[in-house]
Amino acid sequence: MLEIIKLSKSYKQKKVVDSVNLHLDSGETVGLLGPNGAGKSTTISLISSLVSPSGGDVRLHNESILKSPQSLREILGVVPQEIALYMDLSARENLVFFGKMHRIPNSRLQKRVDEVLEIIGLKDREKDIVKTFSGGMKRRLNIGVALIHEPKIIIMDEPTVGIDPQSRNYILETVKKLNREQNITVLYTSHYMEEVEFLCDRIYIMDHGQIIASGTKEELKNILSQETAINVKVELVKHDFVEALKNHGNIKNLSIQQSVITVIVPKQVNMLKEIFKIAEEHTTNVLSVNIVTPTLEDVFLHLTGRQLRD
Amino acid sequence: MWRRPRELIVLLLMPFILITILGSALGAFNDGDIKVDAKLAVLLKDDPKLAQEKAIKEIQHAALSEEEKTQKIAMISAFNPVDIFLNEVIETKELKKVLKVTVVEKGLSLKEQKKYDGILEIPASFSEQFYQKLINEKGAEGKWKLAVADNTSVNATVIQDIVASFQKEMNLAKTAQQLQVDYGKIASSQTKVSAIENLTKKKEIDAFSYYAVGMCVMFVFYMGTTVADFAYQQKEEHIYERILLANVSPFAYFAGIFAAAFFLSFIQLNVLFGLTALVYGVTFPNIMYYLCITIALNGMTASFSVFITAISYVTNSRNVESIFSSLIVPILAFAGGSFFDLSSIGGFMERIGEISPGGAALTAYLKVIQGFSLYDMTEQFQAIFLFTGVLLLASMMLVGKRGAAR
Repeated sequence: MLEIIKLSKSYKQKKVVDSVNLHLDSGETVGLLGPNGAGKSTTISLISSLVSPSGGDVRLHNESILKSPQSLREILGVVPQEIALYMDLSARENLVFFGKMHRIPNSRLQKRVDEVLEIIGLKDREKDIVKTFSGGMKRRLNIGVALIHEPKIIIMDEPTVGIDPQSRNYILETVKKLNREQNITVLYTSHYMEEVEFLCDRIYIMDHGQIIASGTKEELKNILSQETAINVKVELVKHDFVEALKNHGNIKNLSIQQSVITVIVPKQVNMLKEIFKIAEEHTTNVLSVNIVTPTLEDVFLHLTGRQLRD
Repeated sequence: MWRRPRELIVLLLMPFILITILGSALGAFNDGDIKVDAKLAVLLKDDPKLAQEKAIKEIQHAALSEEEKTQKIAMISAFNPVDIFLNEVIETKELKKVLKVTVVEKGLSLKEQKKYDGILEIPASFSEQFYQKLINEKGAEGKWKLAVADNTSVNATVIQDIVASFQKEMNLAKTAQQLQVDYGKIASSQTKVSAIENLTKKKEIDAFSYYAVGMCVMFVFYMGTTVADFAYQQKEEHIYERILLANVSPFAYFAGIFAAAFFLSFIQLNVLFGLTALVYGVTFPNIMYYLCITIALNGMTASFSVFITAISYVTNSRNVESIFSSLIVPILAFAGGSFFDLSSIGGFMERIGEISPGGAALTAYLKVIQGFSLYDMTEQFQAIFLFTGVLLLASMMLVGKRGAAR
């Protein structure tokens, strides 16, 4: 349906997006995963024709849209990372305004606005001014505006940034419902691994402007099929201890979250004994040790050497 | 707009308050302070009486019928331009108030020349050549030479206007005589001199009228910057990108900004002028003329708004609007005479005032109050249309096809 071929963008000789290849098939939900500054938002701007690429092509049904993006824009809904709404207007007024921008006939517009308000769960607040809304409600309306013209493809750029868990769940459920019930194709970017795992059929992992891995969740996890992840919970994370682990020949990657140190090691190596030995040498109290199957987070760590939220 | 009371207050209440303050505080200072005291030296090298007698003699000895001779002699006797100018036109009551004429027969020293705003030289053979042309349509026509000290001063303008108007009348009368049409006693007629008309009418503008127009013209530009500020906010908040994604062309978007600024400034001006009419009795005698200027000014304001928006979109900077509202608009207001009447300074500043964006509109409005016709405002309309066109063209070039989205 939508194909991105060797898409590149440079600003003052710096490559922000570097030969990105990506495709979206009708009705699927695809995740674009990467840390802040990986180039996800620029890629979205390039795909949605707001920015002209330095190289490459964007093709819709095998036709390039670079010179005349109108055909893509007609079926594309974009949810920007920012709240792109009129704060002084009500929820309904915003939807009506953007509906008019999309030239939805008046006879259809009011009904469509009602439908969208139902989808985003703001029917009871439709007349309230947006600036009085909570962060989660604004995010929902931000999605609603992108849905007003009944797009076939929707691109969501980190739509859950900075909101409470309840609103986040609502948004994730809404996206899933849109995909399932209305067969909308979704490109979902996030740096929250669990969101992408929950929503997406296929995932692209992006870092430093490049796609460094892609596939289904299972395919990506298979990258680490020969490895095991060990979570070591310690009383106090000591620098010496961490350095000693890092320098160990069998430890491929290491990450720290609060007092849990995660190391990726080859499956065939028994590292438990080694870890305890290093802990003893550096007088570190180990509280617990868990051997787990590697997650996408571990895959990302393995591929980039850093965590998603770094 | 009503959801943003701050802007509403700034754009509607502020100018009204300023009209009140400036109108009452500077009223006494400004009212009727346009004084013209022009001094003209006429260097008369010609002897019109002698030329007239010579011309009559020539006709008497010419091979013409008696009837023709009588007709031509009557024409010459009735038509002596130098005499008409010196003894009748500049002796009129209206002109005497503003123009002092000294007739000299030989050249003035440099020191003496400095005493006058203008020196009019009537060459030695002027009348003789004039009659030759009138009777026989032969030979070159003599011309008066006018030299003014300061081309841009009010006094010089008055002298130039008087001489030019007189020459125009004389040409008409001469043609009428040749065609034997009764042009009337032009010499004794009350020749209307535009400069005098201007001056007497200018005095009718009181301080409230002046500042009502001055403040409205200044604050209409603030409407332009306010709309540009709103528009930039749309870019900052990524609404502009959403609009582009709805397949709206950048030009259509900017046309929307133009329409918004046009509409809002139209309402603003009408509310302000309506209020000043109600409270201070400042009215426009010709509503159609008022509407013409208002619409032209709205167009210029809208272009100004589009231009600021285009720069801020391209540079991705809110500072652009700040620079315009805190620096450029006050400069335009100053140059346009919104703070004080630049014609009281005269010269270069007055000229700038008349053709600067705000000044052109201000001058045109004042002319409507004074009772001038639209034709008299041609220069102001030209200036307004020129600025509108240049601003729109520059905006289109800045925005380009992609619309400066990022």
